[in-house]
Amino acid sequence: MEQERRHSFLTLIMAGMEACWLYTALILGIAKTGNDGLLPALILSFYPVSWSVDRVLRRLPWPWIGKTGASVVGWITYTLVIGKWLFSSSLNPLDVSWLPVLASDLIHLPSFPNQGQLFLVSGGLIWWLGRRLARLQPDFSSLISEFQFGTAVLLILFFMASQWEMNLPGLVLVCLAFFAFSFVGISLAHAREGKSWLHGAHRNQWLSILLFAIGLAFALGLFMSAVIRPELLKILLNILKLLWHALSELMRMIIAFLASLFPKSDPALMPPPAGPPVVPGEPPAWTKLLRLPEWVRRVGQIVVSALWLILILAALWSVSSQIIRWLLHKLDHDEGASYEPISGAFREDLMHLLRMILSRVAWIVRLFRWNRAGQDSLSREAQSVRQIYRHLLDWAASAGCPRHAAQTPGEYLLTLTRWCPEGRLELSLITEQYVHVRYSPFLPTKEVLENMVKTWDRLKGMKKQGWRKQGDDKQLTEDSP
Amino acid sequence: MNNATASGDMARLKTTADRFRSNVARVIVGKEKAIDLIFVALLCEGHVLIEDVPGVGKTLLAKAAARSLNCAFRRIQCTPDLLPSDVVGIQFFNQKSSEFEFRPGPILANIVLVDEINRAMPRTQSALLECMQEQQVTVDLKSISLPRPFMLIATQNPIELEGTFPLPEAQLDRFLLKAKLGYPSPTEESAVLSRFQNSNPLEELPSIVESSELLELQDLSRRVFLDQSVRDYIIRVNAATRENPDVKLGTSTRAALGLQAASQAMAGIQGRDYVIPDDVKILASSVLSHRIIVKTEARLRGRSEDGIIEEILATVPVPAD
Repeated sequence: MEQERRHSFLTLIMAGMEACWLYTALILGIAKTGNDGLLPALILSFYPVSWSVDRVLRRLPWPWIGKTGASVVGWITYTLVIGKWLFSSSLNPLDVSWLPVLASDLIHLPSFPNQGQLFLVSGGLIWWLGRRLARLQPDFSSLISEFQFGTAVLLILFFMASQWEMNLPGLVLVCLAFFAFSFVGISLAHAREGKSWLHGAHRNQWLSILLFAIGLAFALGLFMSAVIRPELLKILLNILKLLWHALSELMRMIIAFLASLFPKSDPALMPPPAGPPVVPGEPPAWTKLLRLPEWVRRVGQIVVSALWLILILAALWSVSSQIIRWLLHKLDHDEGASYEPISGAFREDLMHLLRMILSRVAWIVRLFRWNRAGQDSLSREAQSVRQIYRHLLDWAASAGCPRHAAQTPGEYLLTLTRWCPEGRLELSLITEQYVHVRYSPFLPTKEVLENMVKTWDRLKGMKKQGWRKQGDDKQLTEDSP
Repeated sequence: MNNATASGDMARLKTTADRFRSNVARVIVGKEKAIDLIFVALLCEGHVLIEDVPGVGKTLLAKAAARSLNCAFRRIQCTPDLLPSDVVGIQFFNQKSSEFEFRPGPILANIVLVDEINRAMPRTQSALLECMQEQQVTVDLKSISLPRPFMLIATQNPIELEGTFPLPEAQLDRFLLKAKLGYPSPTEESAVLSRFQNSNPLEELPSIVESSELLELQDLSRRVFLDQSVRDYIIRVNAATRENPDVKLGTSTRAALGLQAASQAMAGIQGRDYVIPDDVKILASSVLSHRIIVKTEARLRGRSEDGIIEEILATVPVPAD
């Protein structure tokens, strides 16, 4: 129950972070279209509605196509409801006269972005973000990604606003809210995963460190606000300008000096004009024996060109095969090697898209690839074993049983098996193989990896069958090593 | 060293360790950890200090361990009037041959039991320093190498302070490990009584490891693989003892070397040809606790060497993904 509550709280924080930059983007878009009729709050309401719909749909035992279809129907329905509110003056729910107006807005591309287009695009995007939020695991890495992405988006939006000379209301408050959400979320997620300084060597001095950090932030803030004033910035800009001028002057002088080193052309020193061309005499008869016939020269030309072409192709093949091997190494599911998805919210989405494209490319490449199995399988298998263990760590941490930094894999195995005795065998096997790979110089065989992948699959199966729920109910506290 | 050879060597090491453990267990009931520590010290060519209250089997354990090895064994019973020459030996004038001859002391053996070491005077204790570190003795400017393998097992009683001379830090640092036995459980005590009812099992204890075999095992132990990350972990744990606010004197580099060698040996006796952080953790207290000095004010607050080491192990991050 405690885990569920923490999870919900972090989800709420993540939603707050996203809502900040979504709100900024919306008010920027509305200001750009020049229509105040679109209410940002109404469009933002797509976000919680989409999240709630997806949460409900996830509990239903439908196939994914059914769930996706239901989500699309939900989006269309909600768009119609909000569209009616925004674009229709009539209170009659059966009055659909606003729909043709909205449709004509949508297809009128020269007026992009107009009111209808903004409404539909932003509604769709926010609906998708709400769905994504419902599926996201709010952990430390995903919050960090959200923070990085949100900061970048906010900066871009502010830059665009300044370029278009728009005075948007409430931006300071949005910024403050965004950073407040971010810092609270990141700190909580960090502490929850047991990796923060609260679990480190200086945990006894946490109050002193906290007070010192707050004091330092205040002192730096005061110092910066006292020192960095418009006058100072102006002086700094002037200094930079002067430096640039001095540098460009210096470069001009150097170029002029270098140019002066070359002698100037003097017409008096020009060579005399050339006389009529001298016609060479008939070559001796014996030189004809050394002259290659035309067809031999042609063949020689083709052979030399073909050699060069082969060399270039071989070089290209060598480079591209290394790149492709790397890609296959990342993407090859069939040979038992697994890879670890980079965690994080937007990064994960982007990686998913990239992975999809690359897997298609890899599939095409694999069609033309010679069988080169076993060439670099050893290091791949070792890496895969470690990645499977990392998956286990990530999963256990997100389910509320993180590994303490000072716990050895063996000690952590005890914690894990106490936390979930059903998976004792699988956990032991994965840990044992990981320890062997991590600390010994010997590499695992393909059979070992296959066995480990199967074990991990079994463990994932247990997870799906509500293992996490059982673990949560036990409320086992983390063991100190 | 390929994988198969390494596994075979380590299996041999493990088998010998198991045989040693079961042999000593004929005399000592329980105390598997202490027995393992002694075998670890044997593999590392280190020395062991057994510290506990009287009557829990310190001397018996040392004697049983020594008997299990087919090596030259001597015992030195320390008293306040024991002189360095009583330990290392003397040069005496042989009237028959009219030459000075060296009469070796009891230290010139493979396994030396120094019983109640803290009853010897500081200068006698110091005479052991060269033996323990350099594995040689110097008598009348002449250095004599000690036989290999050489191991010193010392016992001391921490309770009785009258008439004793606490071991100096330099001396303590020479001991690879400090083992504690503790009181046996009632079941163990009952087994001890029944085992010693009719005869002393120590007298019938066979030797199971030859000295040449032990030298080979020592070589094998040194070849156990130690990953750089585990080595860094040892260094971090060692450094943490110096940074701990309750510690007046942290551990030395010799301690880190000892912990590294002992971890390799511990991995070996478990049949593993690579060290894992658990080996380091198991041994850290035995290797490091006797080498640190706790501040007086911390000691008054109830802090102990073992507690500090445990705290350090609970905070220093382990190398893992």
